[in-house]
Amino acid sequence: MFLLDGAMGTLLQQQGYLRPRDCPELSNIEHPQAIENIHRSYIKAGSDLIQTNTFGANRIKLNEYGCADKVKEICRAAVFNAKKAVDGTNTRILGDMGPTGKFISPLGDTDFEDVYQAYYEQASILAESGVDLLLIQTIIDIQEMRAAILAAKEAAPNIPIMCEFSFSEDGRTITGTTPEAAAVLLESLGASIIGANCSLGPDKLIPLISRMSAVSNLPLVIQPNAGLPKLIDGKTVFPLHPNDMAEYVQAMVNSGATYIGGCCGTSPEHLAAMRQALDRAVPYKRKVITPPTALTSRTSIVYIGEGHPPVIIGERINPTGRKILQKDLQEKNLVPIKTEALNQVKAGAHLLDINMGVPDVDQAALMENVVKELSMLVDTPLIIDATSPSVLEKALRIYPGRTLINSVNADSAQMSAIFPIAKKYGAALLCLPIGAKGIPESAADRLTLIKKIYNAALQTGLRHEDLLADPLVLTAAASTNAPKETLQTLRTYKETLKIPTVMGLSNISFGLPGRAGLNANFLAMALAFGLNAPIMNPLQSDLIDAYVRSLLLLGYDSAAHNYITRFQNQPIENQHQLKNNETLSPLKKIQQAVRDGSKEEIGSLLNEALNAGIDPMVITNDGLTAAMTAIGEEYGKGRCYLPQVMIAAETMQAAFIALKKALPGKFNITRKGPFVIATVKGDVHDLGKNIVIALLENSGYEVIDLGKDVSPEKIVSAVHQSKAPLVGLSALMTTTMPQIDITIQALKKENLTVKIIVGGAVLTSEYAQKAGADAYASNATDTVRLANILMGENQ
Amino acid sequence: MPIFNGFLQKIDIAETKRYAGLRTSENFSDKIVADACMAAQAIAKPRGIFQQCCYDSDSCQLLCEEPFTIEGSKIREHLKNSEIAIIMAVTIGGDIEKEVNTLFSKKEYSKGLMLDAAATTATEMIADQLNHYIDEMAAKHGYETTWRYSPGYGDWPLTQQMNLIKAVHADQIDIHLTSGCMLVPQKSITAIIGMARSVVESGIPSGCRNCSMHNTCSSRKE
Repeated sequence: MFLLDGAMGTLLQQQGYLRPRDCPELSNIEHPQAIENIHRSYIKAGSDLIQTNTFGANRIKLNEYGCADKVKEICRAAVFNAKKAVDGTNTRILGDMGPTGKFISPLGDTDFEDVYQAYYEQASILAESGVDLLLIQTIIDIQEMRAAILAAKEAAPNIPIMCEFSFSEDGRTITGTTPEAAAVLLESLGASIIGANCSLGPDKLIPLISRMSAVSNLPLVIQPNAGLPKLIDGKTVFPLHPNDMAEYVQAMVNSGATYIGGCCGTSPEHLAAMRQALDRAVPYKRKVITPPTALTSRTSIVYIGEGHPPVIIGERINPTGRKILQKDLQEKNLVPIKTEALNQVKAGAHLLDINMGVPDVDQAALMENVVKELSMLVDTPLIIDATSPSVLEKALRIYPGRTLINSVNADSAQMSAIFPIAKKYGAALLCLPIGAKGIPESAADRLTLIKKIYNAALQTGLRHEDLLADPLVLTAAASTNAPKETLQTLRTYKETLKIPTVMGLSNISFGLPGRAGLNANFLAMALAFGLNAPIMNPLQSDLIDAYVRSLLLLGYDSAAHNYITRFQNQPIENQHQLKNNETLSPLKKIQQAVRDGSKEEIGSLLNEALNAGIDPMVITNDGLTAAMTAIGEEYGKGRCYLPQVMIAAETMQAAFIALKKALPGKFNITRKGPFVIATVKGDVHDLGKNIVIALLENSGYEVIDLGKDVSPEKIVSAVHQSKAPLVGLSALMTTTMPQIDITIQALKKENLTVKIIVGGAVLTSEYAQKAGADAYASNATDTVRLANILMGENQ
Repeated sequence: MPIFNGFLQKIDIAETKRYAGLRTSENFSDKIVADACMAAQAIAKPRGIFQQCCYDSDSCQLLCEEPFTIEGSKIREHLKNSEIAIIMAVTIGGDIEKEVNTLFSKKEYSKGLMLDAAATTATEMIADQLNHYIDEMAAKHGYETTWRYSPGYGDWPLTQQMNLIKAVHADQIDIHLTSGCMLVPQKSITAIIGMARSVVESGIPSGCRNCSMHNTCSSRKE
């Protein structure tokens, strides 16, 4: 067990070397003796490792103090000061690298490469100057940690790296990363020691270290604050005294940490007390875990393999054979891809496969962009479905987690191109049994190829938990034994190599009828043979049904919870609704459908009424309009809500279209108006106005919509040209309300006979009257009522 | 000017219903609301920016690049213990409001209405994320923070949007003002958060009770 040191900045402030707005790292040059003395005081307290005073000595952070050009000078001086202090002792030096203070795009506006360069520069200088380890600490965003660790590995490949995240009280970093996701990612990226520092006191930080120990065997580090700070007399004061911190040392040891230190608010006195406690502490025998195969996103972790329920990989983000999607991607319209991602996650996908095989585009750039956008949108980890090293490199560099590369085969050239990329970025790798002669038929031969890839991967430094295997599926139409061999291959992989299996399903039914059912049956069988992650279309409910049933039968669904959630009640509810409807008369049914917003049903209900010999005008007036009026009245009384009015209005629209279709040339609604409508000048709110338009159109008005931010001149001219009997003006804010007066005056000046209705959040009937309006509408249904009254007056 | 854009991995369905004026969910399909939230997620482009500056509570001056005096007795009361103020601005971009208009013109009213409500929820959620980050940063130095207060709340005049927009450099995230002091895109928020040694909340409760529309608003929280 090793003791680190504690705070530096606080001591510099207390000793008068640092004022509030000074750059703390400049002290390395301006007050070297003070820095050396603080280091010495920690060494005297018993620290086995001390941190250089270089927390903010990266180019980006130093730029805030106008010192961006002093990185080298500061870092060298800092290491020199530390070296002087440790001279003659066994104390080792940690080269400290803290955050840049900027968020990496797209979370912030700073480019990943700029942050990478800043850390590369700092790590190079610290390493050259002779630190024993590099320490990346107080990081709140996984991307910044990734940039720092990638840079440190590149700049100083032989120096061990200690990594510490900073967590909030909810047990996540501010940007949502959990200790488990952090630990798995850091280990895969090649960190030597992992843990947490700052932000929390020991009580809150200790459980987070325990959580890391459950997913990683790496040594753990903990550096808590001396409690949560308070401002007292203008000074930041931390509540825990040296003995308080010492009391937590045994618990820190029991969390699995072997590197223990302090952060904000801790002093040499705290560390001296902690030293004594550490020397007395009962050593903790940490349980050695089997490292899980897991993939991570910024905010979540997904385990794949033995002991974990099978997970669904959504296959839909793949433009192969989908012309519209290809076109969208060529035009850089990512909304369809985003929608596809969200739909799959909603349908139950735990992981999303991303394939950007689009012709005539820069695939690497497209993949980078899609990965950037999707990694912000879903918490589901992404799988990069590509074999081109340039596409993979772009995607993996920017992905804020641990991904799976889909895929590598047994071709030596492909292996030597892809392995280093997987290793560098900490990605897992899906191995395919494809050799020089294609796909072998037998399970035994497929295993031989996978073993070849597996062994070669281990030799280049990839780990057992980085590797997954695909048995490969051939269509059942091609060979009688093909499906059986695939299932056998699943079992062979599991028994021999004990690595998780991943498999695309849909090939099994290629060229055959009844594909959905066959795929579903095959899925169930494959899961029984040990498949850990099917690649499938989660939007096919047959497949999800088979998946949920299989989970129950394979013992992954405790108390049949998921099964019951998916299958109970659905059919019974529908029957109930139908039954209720059947007793009503055709007109009542139409009214009911409008009130319920049953757009899909309205067409058949109208036909039913027409077939029963009911006059179309009766249907319109006593069925549709009556229902709409009733719902408007209910809305006015607060008995129903606006979205319900809107959906009823949509159903009316659908009904008009259906009537026109059923009675070609015979069904025409008389148009009233026209009604000119606008949101006044300076005002950009148009939702309320749009709602009014919807209801007016439903009531038979021809509406001329002038839009938002409309000048009085434009409104006057529209009324002139259209000879409209009605005009509606809307304003939402106090700042734009005077435009109502100005517009009304402009209309009156022209001696137009138009009637004016005004509305909008801030308006009142008093204001409307004063401004010279003919009516004030308090809501959308009220506008229709008033319009009808004013039209009556006009006629 | 620090940029923190945040991200939208979900949009709160219950809040979306509330903004749509659906105070109870009876007789209204949850699917329409869930679909609107998903559509908003796919279209939204969250962005956020903030700026820290000193606040002189005696003169009610915000000491940013171009210092200005905070008008409005309630916001002054709100900031009375604050030594530092953070001005923040967030937006989810203008694409959603275009889509809402398209839906209305295609006569898909309920979708349009719900998308608008989902967009409002999304904007608040992005503001919450930035607010959370600011709270954490303040707590690190022992500061407490006030709840975020926007022009138009209480008696804080909307005209001070001009000062806020300028101080926080909202143009960097493409937020602008109309002549009527309205934010463009519509789904944007500007606000101020006070940092104090101890936030003794003024008499102004946060949330709906503070609002002059409390008795009539269909979106109010019960």
